[in-house]
Amino acid sequence: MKLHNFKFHGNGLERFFGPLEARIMTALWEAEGELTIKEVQQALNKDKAMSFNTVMTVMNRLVDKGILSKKANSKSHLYRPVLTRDEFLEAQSKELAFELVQEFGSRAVAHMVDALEQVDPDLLDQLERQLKQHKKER
Amino acid sequence: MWEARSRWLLATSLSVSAFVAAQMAMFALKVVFGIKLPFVLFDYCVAWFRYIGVPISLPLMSAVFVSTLVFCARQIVREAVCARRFGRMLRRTADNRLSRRYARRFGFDRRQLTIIRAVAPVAMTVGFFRPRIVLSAGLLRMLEPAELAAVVAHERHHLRRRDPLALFALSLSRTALWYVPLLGWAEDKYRTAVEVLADRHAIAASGGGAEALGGALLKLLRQGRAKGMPTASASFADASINVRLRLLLDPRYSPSWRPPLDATLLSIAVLALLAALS
Repeated sequence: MKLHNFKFHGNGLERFFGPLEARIMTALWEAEGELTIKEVQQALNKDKAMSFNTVMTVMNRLVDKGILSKKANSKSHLYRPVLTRDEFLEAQSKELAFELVQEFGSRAVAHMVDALEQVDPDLLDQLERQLKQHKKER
Repeated sequence: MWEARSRWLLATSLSVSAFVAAQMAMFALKVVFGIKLPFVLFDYCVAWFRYIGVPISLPLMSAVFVSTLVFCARQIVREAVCARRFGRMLRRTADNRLSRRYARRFGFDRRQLTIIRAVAPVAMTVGFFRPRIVLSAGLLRMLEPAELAAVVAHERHHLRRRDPLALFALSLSRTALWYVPLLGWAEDKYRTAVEVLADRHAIAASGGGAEALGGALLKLLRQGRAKGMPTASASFADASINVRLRLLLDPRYSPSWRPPLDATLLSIAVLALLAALS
């Protein structure tokens, strides 16, 4: 799940979402379960009246982005966030840091660790075993 | 060995690049402006190719010349755009209070160390002329004090040697002079060499020894390797990170410095064609 419009000048969720998207995500995360569009609209209406169609459009856009999942119910659809709020923020932060590392000129930077996909897992295991052995011996 | 070889790699690569660039400049002066210079290898090259019957013509040599300029300009512009974007990102994400605190703790000038607000562990040295170390708050939380000292010592070594500038110069040579494939090998080896040298400095200077650096690397690699990443294969045995891990496990390990045969032969052919005509 990669958001392309990260805004450094925003606050909280608005760094990742538009204002209405952020309110919808907050409503869904606070509900800690699945909600219909109607239920989300009712939650948003407590602050400011929103039309059903606007909420539906934005929620379906969030489904397209992979941020919400949508499940058919008898009369309507149920929506829920794919990740918890904490998982989402952590994932986005990692994504940001990854891009920070990968995209800065890419050739003009000395990384502490780079080309992670090239790491030999056997060497990592050996290093871990050796470090554990050193700790035991101390 | 690593120090001497890294210097040799850098000096040789840059000399080759400077030589070809100078020849191209003279070639351009003659073709574009009609200024005749006494020693233009490219000019001789075209003549020699014609003499031996190889279908290489002035337009083809000109295309090589133009491609060099285009690739060179493209990379410089790209780097400039990235540097500007990165600068903006740093200003937005920098934690000034933490940056000041850690700069004092590790004896850096305030401008030399920036801590960014990011959960993921980040440790790097960036910047061409006034390099700076960038660490993330996530890294500070993840590492033990001795491990952090080792990472900072590693990055300090890059900072003092201005490694980002050298890496950029080698990368530019590799991209612009795409017809000298040995420059690609030289850049890869140089990247490995500067990382190994920084590791050695970290082991010697941080006080925590190889254990602290190994612990930091292990955490960074375990944390950074996302799920679903392909496992390493033999083709990555020479990758910088694997050479560093092998050296941590066995300080006597000596990786091969032999350049690949095909790239060597092709590069020698290209350069010999030029040099033989002088």
